[in-house]
Amino acid sequence: MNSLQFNLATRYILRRRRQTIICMLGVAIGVAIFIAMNAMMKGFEVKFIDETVEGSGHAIVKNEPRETVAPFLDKVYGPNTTVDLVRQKPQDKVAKIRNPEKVMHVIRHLPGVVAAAPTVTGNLVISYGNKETAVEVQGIEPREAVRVTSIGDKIVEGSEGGFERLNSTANGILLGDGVARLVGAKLFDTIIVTGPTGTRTTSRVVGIFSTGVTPVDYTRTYMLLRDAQVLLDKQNIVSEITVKGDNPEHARALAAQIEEITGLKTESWQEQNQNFLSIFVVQQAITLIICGAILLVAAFGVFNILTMSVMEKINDIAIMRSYGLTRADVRNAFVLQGLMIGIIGALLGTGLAATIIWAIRQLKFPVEGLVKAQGILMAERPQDYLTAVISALIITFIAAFLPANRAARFNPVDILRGRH
Amino acid sequence: MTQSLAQLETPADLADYTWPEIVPPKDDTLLASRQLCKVIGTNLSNQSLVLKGLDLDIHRGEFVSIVGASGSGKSSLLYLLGGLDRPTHGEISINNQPLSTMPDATLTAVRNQTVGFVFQFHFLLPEFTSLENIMIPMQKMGVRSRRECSDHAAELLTTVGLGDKAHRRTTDLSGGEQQRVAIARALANDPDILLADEPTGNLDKHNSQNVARLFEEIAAQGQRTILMVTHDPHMAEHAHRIITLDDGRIVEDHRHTKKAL
Ligand SMILES: Nc1ncnc2c1ncn2[C@@H]1O[C@H](COP(=O)(O)OP(=O)(O)OP(=O)(O)O)[C@@H](O)[C@H]1O
Ligand SMILES: [Mg+2]
Repeated sequence: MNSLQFNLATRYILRRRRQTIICMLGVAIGVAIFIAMNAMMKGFEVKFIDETVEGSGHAIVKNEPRETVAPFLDKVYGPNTTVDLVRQKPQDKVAKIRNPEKVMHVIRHLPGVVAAAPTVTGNLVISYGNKETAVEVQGIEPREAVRVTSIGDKIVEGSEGGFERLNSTANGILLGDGVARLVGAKLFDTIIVTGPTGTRTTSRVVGIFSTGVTPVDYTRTYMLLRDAQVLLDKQNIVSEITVKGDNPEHARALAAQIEEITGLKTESWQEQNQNFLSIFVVQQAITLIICGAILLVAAFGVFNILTMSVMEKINDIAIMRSYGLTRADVRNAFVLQGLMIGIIGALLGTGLAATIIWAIRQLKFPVEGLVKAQGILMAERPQDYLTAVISALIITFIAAFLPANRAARFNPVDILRGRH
Repeated sequence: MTQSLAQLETPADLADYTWPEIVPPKDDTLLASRQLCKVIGTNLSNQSLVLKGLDLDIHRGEFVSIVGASGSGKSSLLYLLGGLDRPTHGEISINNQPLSTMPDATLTAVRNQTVGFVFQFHFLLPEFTSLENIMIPMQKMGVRSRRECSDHAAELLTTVGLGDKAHRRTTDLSGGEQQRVAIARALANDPDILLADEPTGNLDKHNSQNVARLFEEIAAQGQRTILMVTHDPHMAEHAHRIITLDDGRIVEDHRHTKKAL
């Protein structure tokens, strides 16, 4: 690239102002949509993961051993035998972690572990007046629980006492705001709780929480570990240990380590939310395809305008070659035109993207989907800007290179003879 | 088997023609061709042999006209002599440098520095002013500074009588003026050789006279060699030497005393 080529490129591009501007806008829109869509998708994803990770802990130690095949079949029939299994009765063993205190002690002393809290889980039916709903209950140790998840910060009513109030109120219960709405219960109301074995008791609503993750808020309740154990008929049983590490990104490794040491199946938050994570992957792919298509259209515009320009300038190309411009001069003069469109278009695009993201952030309306939010969440990330700009440049470069190379390969004599 | 040059007619004849050894041009020859043959056309059905073994010696300061019927190969010859095209057979040398051994990049540099082309159509770049059109070949050569390029271009415009139209867009000039700018552009890098292919083919009588006079002036300086293809016998008369081509062969080559201005 030299000043002569640059000079030619600018003159040519200024000659076709309208087409050039349309082309630049095409690139700009492609870039802007890429960035804005990614910000939106990522905004939702980050929020969801945040809520999930902080709300449910980084890893959960379960009671079950991890088994892939039924080993007893091998024992009975020998290996490599095909067995037509018609039915298998589920084990009705109570899920529990043996010696939870010792397990927790071991886990708490692992490097990278911040806290570990025991939980007993089960299903309850709660009723208030004539309203009834099935819920999941988590029996917890409040002091430990607030250290492994962000649930302590999510109490929207009765927050003065917070989780501690579970300790001071006999049979106290915390309801998700969705659950509270379903049965119509308010703070300090007394509701009836029925366990799976029919144990019934009255319980006082000591707080209402809202995690922002809709499925959680509509199904989850918290009670004191001891109270829940009684109600679920799981005396002295701990069904899960929730672990918080120092970095959610390392959760998989941490889970694997815990599993190896304790021999208990341990799921990282990634494993637990695999379905959602794979939705995000698909979502990402769709975004890429859409933006790729838009950029492709923009690239086609660049290709088009340059192909036309090359045909229009064919005599000029011949004369320039006759007085000493090289093939590279010709090629670069046209490639530069494409790059100028690409660069200016991409810069316009980033400005447009920033504006779109700003504008969407100004919209405030309650959104209640998988997560609850005010307005649409936008995660503005520098790497999205970079990716968009770089892909726009690469794609316009290719789109410009093809006609430019054609222009460079013309034989000036063929043009002068009127054949090309 | 040795044949006579007169038997050379089709591209196929080239294949089994036995050429004698090339006689190199004398040292003071500026531009020479030996056994120059050119096949034009991309496939067998439309290929033809348009130049049939031309030997030509042109000296510094000569003003040569090339005449001949349409299709006799005048333009093809000019393109080859200026290094814009490569011969199918034979050799061309400029200042005793054979062009055939030069890579494309060197040949391009020769066109930039040693040769100036003028065509029937002016081919000025419409995006640039007259001055800028003349500056581009200079900038490509890269010897002069931008300022010097601009000064020299202005000088050349004055030479062709357009000193006052330097900053005009070329589209705003008349046909005759455009052709004079094209001539100034061909002179941009002080080339040894000026090659003109029907430079007045598109001009009226008055403008043709102007161009002819311009060429005579350039030739009179004795530094540059001019080869001018023309259909017009009056134009040809301005030259010192008239070469007549017929069907790819030189059929006449005579010197004559310059017609009085
Ligand atoms: N692209 C081509 N393919 C095949 N033959 C061609 C092509 N271009 C030119 N020719 C042939 O080459 C021969 C020489 O052409 P050239 O242009 O050199 O002639 P010319 O003497 O300059 O003619 P004119 O006076 O019409 O300009 C002609 O017979 C022409 O028909
Ligand atoms: Mg011709």
